[in-house]
Amino acid sequence: MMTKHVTHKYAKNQINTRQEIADYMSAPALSIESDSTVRDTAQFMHQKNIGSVLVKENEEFIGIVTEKDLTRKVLGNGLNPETTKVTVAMTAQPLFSLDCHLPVTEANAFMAKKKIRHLPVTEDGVIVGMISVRDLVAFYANPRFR
Amino acid sequence: MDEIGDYMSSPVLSVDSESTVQEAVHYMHANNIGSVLVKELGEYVGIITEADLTRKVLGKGLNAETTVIKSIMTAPVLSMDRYLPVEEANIMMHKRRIRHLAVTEEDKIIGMLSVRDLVSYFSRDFRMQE
Repeated sequence: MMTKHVTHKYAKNQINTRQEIADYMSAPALSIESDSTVRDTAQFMHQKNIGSVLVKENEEFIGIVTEKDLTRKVLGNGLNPETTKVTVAMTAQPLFSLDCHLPVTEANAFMAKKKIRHLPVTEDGVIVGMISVRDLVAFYANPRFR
Repeated sequence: MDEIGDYMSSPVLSVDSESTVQEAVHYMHANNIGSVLVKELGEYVGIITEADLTRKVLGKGLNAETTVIKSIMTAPVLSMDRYLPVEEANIMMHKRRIRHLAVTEEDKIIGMLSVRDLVSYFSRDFRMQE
């Protein structure tokens, strides 16, 4: 199943406008429940072919976990992935995010400054997608702009 | 047209193929890198990334203290010559769905190019156009 690089619905009405984060993000933002184990999380990320996933509790996003977090905090500390909850490895709130109608160049500047590879994307303050370094490459390498 | 060698990180870092997963993770953390080459008898024989560690070790429930890197590394290492254009590296990395590419000079690995490096290259180009 393809879950990556699905053009967001907002992009469809944006022919010939400036390039917004919405045009390059993947949506919807994928998430797992906060009581999931690290092993379940790793399997979910593999299955969806994603390098980061949001963590949800009571229908709210409470954090984000990346391959880097899992590698360093779980493997690095010798924790058991079958008993360790994902919340131990996640980066908790406040989550960094940018509005989907901002230009992609802003996402690049922000991600470079914060040294992150994945950034949640919001519309009206609600998380609607995720933009990754891979998506930034897709934007900059797009021959239409060069 | 810019060459891969202008954007790679160098020198390359490596771990021994007999290292444990936990040792490799500590080494990667200490050097703040997301991937590391694997060396055996002086040769680079594979590569380990955070994606490999997440998928193959955590996802399968392997023991980080006893699993050796050799058993989970990706081999052979995909590479490109440093004098090729960055665009070529982008095409290959996209096609092979990889975030890290080894860079060679006279068939010897001398550096690494990551997706982050691609963004640096392309966004520089982009600003010049604007």
